[in-house]
Amino acid sequence: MSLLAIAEPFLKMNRIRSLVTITSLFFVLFASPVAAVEPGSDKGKEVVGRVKATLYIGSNTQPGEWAEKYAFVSEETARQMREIEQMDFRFYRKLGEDTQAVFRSYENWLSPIKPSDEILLSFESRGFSADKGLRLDLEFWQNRRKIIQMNPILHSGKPLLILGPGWRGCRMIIAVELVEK
Amino acid sequence: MKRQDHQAPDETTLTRWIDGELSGDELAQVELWAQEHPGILAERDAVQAMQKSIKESVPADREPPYADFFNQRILRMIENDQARFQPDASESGSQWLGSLWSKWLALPGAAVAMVLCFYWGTQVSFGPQPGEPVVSTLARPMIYTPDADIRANVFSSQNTGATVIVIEGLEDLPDDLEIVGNQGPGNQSEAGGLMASHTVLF
Repeated sequence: MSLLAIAEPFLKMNRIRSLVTITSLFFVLFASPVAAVEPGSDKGKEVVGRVKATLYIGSNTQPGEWAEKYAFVSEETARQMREIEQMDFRFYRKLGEDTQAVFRSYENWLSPIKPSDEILLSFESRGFSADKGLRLDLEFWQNRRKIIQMNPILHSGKPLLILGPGWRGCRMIIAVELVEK
Repeated sequence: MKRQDHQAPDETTLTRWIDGELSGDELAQVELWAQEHPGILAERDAVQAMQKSIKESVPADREPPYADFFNQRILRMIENDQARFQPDASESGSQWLGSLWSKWLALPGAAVAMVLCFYWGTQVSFGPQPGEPVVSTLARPMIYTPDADIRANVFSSQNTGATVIVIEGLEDLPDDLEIVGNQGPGNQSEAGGLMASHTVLF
């Protein structure tokens, strides 16, 4: 097909009409595809939520001087943990926390005691539940070894509490919760 | 009495003979040969009878009713086509709108529709939307422990709404492990409780 054959219909139109037609064709053929492939449009990297992991220790004996550098926890937090039989301790300390984004289809990691990787949590979104909970594939790692793998559904204000390993006569508690974006 | 053999005509000559196109010596030679082949004579008679019948039933070529018949038809169609695109004061509103659409808005409208459809298709919103498929949920999370010596028990705390997982069989972390900690020490309360250095629930 020659160029003349392509241009012939436009030559038969009046000037304004051909201008509108050519502009429309240009927009459809060029502008839309450019918008479609704009960089950084990977839907899998969209943030669908944020999770926070907080690492506590609990003990029934007063921790030694080594614990002085760690923060106390609030009375409210201590009261709520004491309501759980397995986590009912007299003393609590907070060792660290980490908040990370939950991507639509990519894995991410939480390391609540940075820079140490002794305790790690990996997580990946598995979509939303009917009651707007965020379902995760969640793994708990200790000393670079996967300890457990689970698929909890996190709701705002309802944390997942993991009673973990012991350390210096205390018991570690890892709280994983959904936080605001 | 011995029959005299005449030379058989070639295929082309024989066909022309059947069609009655031969004359003179050529015709006489084929006729002599054909007298010795009654089948060919019968075939020629049948073909010629059929041709005659066709000529009788099909009329001769007929001229158009008037000389410029086709040109007249073409001119009339062109005039009708031009009349359709002429603005008419008596044209109704819907006809005017249809004309406007076919003349000006069809391509831009199609372009806008394509772009809108593409835009809607690329929109993936956060969180579940009405009608969006959601993952079926279980009351409690499924738990897998790769190490058979490690057990995990799951239960729900009715008071706090928390899901609790108790892991048993874990080795303790080494006492010489130093954890930096990212929070400074808080203030101890008078009652022996622990004061908050932050207000987050957990």
